[in-house]
Order: sequence, then C-alpha cells, then structure tokens
Amino acid sequence: MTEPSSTDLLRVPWPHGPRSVTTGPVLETRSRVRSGVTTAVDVTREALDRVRTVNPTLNALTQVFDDAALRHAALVDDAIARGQGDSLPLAGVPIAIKDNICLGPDLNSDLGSVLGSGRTPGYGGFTTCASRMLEHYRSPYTATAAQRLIDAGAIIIGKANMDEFGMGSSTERSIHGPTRNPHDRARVAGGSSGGSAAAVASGMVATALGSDTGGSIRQPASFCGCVGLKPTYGKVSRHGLVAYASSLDQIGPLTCTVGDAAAVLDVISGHDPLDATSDNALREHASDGLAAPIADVVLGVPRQIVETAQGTAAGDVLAQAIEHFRSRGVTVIEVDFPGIDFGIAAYYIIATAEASSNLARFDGVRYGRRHPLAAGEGLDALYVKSRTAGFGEEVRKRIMLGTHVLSSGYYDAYYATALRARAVIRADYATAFERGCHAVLMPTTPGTAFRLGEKTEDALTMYLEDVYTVGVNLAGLPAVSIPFEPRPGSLPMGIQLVGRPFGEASLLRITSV
Amino acid sequence: MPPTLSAAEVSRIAVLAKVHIEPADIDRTRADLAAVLGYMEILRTLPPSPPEGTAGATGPETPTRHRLADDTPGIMLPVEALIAMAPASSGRCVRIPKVLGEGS
Repeated sequence: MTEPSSTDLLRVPWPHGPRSVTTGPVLETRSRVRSGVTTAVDVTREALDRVRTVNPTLNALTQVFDDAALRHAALVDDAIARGQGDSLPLAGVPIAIKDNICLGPDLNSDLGSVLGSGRTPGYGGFTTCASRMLEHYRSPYTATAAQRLIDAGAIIIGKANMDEFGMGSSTERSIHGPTRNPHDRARVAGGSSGGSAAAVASGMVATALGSDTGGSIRQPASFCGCVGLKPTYGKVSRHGLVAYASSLDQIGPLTCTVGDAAAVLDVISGHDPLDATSDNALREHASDGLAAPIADVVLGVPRQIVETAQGTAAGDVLAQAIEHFRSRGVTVIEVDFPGIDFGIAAYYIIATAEASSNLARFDGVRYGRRHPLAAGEGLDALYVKSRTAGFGEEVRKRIMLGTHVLSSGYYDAYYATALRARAVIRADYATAFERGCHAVLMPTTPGTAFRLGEKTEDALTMYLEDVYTVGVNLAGLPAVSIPFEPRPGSLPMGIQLVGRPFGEASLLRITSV
Repeated sequence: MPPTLSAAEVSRIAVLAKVHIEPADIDRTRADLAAVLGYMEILRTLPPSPPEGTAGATGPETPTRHRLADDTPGIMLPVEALIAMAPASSGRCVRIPKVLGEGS
C-alpha cells in the first residue's frame, strides 16, 4: 500500500490560523448525527477507514476497537431513533483515549440497555501505559471520564500511544514504538499524549483524551496544531487514570477547535465521589456563552519570558499572539514572574518523588509482569527483576531520581525546597490575577516539533521542553494551547493562555476574542 | 545538594528504588542523574519561606471541599466478569501464581 502524503495525513490543511473558533468536528458530528443527516454507525465506519489509511504511518493508536465501536454506534443510533438524542451531547463523536486511562470489560450481555447504565459496551482491551510492565493488563473498571464520554454517546475508536507512564515529551518512549507528527513524519508528535494529538490532527478521531502532568496535553497539541486543554486540578475526575504524580495529574481533551474542547470538557468534568480531590462546587459550563462577546480583557505576559524568548521561535509566536490579541482590543501588560526560573527544577523533584511512590505498586506481585527467578532467589530478587525488566530506562531513571530526593539526608534540600518553589510559582499567578489579568499569555513550547531521536540521549534537554508548561501544573491552574504559525511556512506551534482556578469558561471565551 | 554522585551512591539509590543497573551502565546513569541534580541547584537561590503541602493544589482562593467518599457499597464487578478476565481461575476464585516457587 502506498504511504499517504503529508497533506493526506492532515485533516485540515496547514496553516489554518488560530483555531479559536466555536465549531469543529465534535460539534459538527454531534449535530449531523442528532439531526439524522448521517448516522453514528456511518461516522464510525468513516473513522475506522481513516484509521486503516493513516495509522500505519503515524502509529498514533495502539489498539482499535472496531467491533465494540460499531456496536456502541448502533446503540447511539437506536437511542436517537427513540427520540433520546438530546441526552447524548457527544452523539456519534469518534474519540481516542490515552492508554493510561482505564477501560473496563463488557459487563452487560444486553447491549441494548448499555446507554445510561454506567457500563461499557464491550470496549475493554488493555491499559498498557505504553509499558512492558502493563503490556497484558486488563482493567476491571472504567475511568470516570471515559465512562462519561461513553454515556454521552461518544464512540471510542481506540487507545492512543504515549510515553511510558506519561514520562516523556515526545512519545518516543513507548513499547508500541514512536508516534510520528502528521505535519512531518520525521518529527515527534510531542508527549506524553502524542498519540492523542496525532490522532486528532490527522482526522482519525474528532477528539481525544490526554493527561497532563507537566504539559503532556498542551505540548503535543502545540506540535501537532491542535487545541489542548489542561483543566484546573480537580475539575475532571482522576478515577481510572493510572497515577504518575497525583498532585499534578489531570485529564483533558485535545481537539481541533476551542468550541470542541468546551463541549468535551462539559461532559467529562464534574464531581466524582470516587476521586477525593474532585471539585464538588457547581461551575459554569465551558460551552455556555463561548461565542458571546467579552469586553475589557486584560492579558498578562511574564516579563521574564519576553526577555529570554526574544529572537527565538517562542518569542516570535508570543509577539504574533500579542499583536493578534491587541488588534482585537485586548489590553496586554507585562507581569513579573520571578518563580518561572524554578519551574523545571521544582517540577522534576515533585513529579519524580510522587512517581517513585505511585509506581512502587508495580513489583510483579501487586501489579505488573512477574519476572522468572533462578533457583534460590528470594522476594527482593523478584521485585528487582520484575521492575528492571518491566520499566523502560526513562521510567527507572525518574523513579531513582524521586527515590533520591525523598531519601534521608536529601529530603529538605530537594523535596521541601521544591514545595517552597511551588508556592512562589503559585503566588506569581495569583499576583497577576490580582492585578486584573483575566489570563496569562505565554508560548506553549520553546520551539516547533523536533526530529525523532534528536533529544532522547540527553534527559535534561528533553526536560527543558516543558519549561513553559510545568508551572501551570504546579499551580493547579487551567490552561489551553491554541495553534499559531510562528513564521510563514513553519510547523505549528502553540500559544498558551492560563486562567484563574476553575475559570475554564472565561479562559476559552478569551481565545475567541 | 551535591551536584555530582558517586557510583556507590547510584548503586544505593538503585537498591532503594528496587531496580538493577548493570555495572556498565552505572557511569551513564550517574552522569544523567548528576546533570539533572546539578540543574536543581537553582533552587538554592529561593528566598527562605515555609514549605506548603500538596493537598488542595489550587490553593486557598478556591475553597474546594475535598473529602473521602462515604464508606458504602457501590456497584461491584460481577464475579463471573472478573473470572472471565482472569488469566487463570479455579471455580469462582481467581487463581494467582505463588509469589515464590511457582511460575516465577
């Protein structure tokens, strides 16, 4: 079979300008399916055909649920025929789920009663986290966010590739092999939700769920020309998300447009008693009033970023974004962010410390593949051999780093200090909002997508890819990356807007200015 | 904060983390960890202040009430479904290998 051309790999020809419009494949599909212009089954067949054409080149999806997706789509069509379309806000919308989000088995033999039953229509499959450790792991339950999508009528086409356990910025560290960027297959898709971003950008699915611990939704969205939304910590339940760093992890959508992101967020967000950190206050729906005019918007731009990014691609895209917003009557002011220099150091201490604890359960006994032992070897050997064989090199390295920063004699110097830095970073954002900023504007990434293999040999260089994204996770704030073109003819690159806690509705509205 | 690590320290960390490093890989691992730890030296320039906890990551300005769920039975996975998923079973029980001495 002939490989598709670069143009064929993209759903929307690039460049397409800022994608801060309110319609997109999610809302269009929902409308067409609900109104009977097409059926969920036909949309699903089209998506599966697209996967067969494009995925062998990109390696964005690692499992495809042909049969379950078509069964689910038929149920959605039945529900619409019964006049229940209004209760399916994502009717027939094809979606991918990052492979660290659990999908359980089919618990119901009567598929006709699945919708609204809180059960899955036979998706199941493996939840591998792109790790040898969980290569054959089948989850006994479904993540709350995924269940809400299923109940809303979204059709899960497949599981999306990722860096192992979310530890990476390129989706090169996966047992399934690297995901390639639809804009240039010699380049990475970003990470760790690179499979999700590539699947959306290439039109295999209308939207995808990712998870963002230090930028893992926004950075691949930037590289692939998508919209990537990292919600406020607690906005979306983490129940069923395999934990990397529990105080930082958050599930969110990748989409083609801001309007689509709002529609998906409205479905997956809301209180969940299965996640003790889930927000239990009533909040404005992100979709409400998205297209309504908003006046007197003030954006803050960190002075330190303006100074250090000058002359780089990040500086170019920031200048372009400032001009874009100013031309639409937005006031843009410089704000002081003294904590920004501490972000990467604090993040890689806190994240690896939490990872060393969270991943302790993968020992070949409680979870994960068990390595064979030689005669006479004991329990310690079982743990060490299973973990050494099951985890990839980067995961082992981060576990060791986290173990070290928490170990006796180093805790205060590293972990306690990182918590202080976290407070400084949070205070930077709080001060900007107190000064009247509705959001903080900054680049999503230092540059456009880099070449496959370019940064795998130098851990620190790869970590510095997250320089603009980690602060948002440390502060627990919502942020959205929307695509810009830094220079004519260049690859896409994201600009990031960071909002107030639980201010997703306002944040997304600002992008539409 | 030591910006460098000795080979012995790397081996000690590996023991604590329950992973094995081949002797030939220790130098490379040491260099990688030292580079990252060296970068973290920037935290020395932080002004003194008390650390904050990790609970309530969005801070006091958003009074989200975090609490554990009520301790009541919820929807359970049917035994038949669980057995069907298990790699091995015996009657209505999941069969798991011994930790030591069988299938290990």
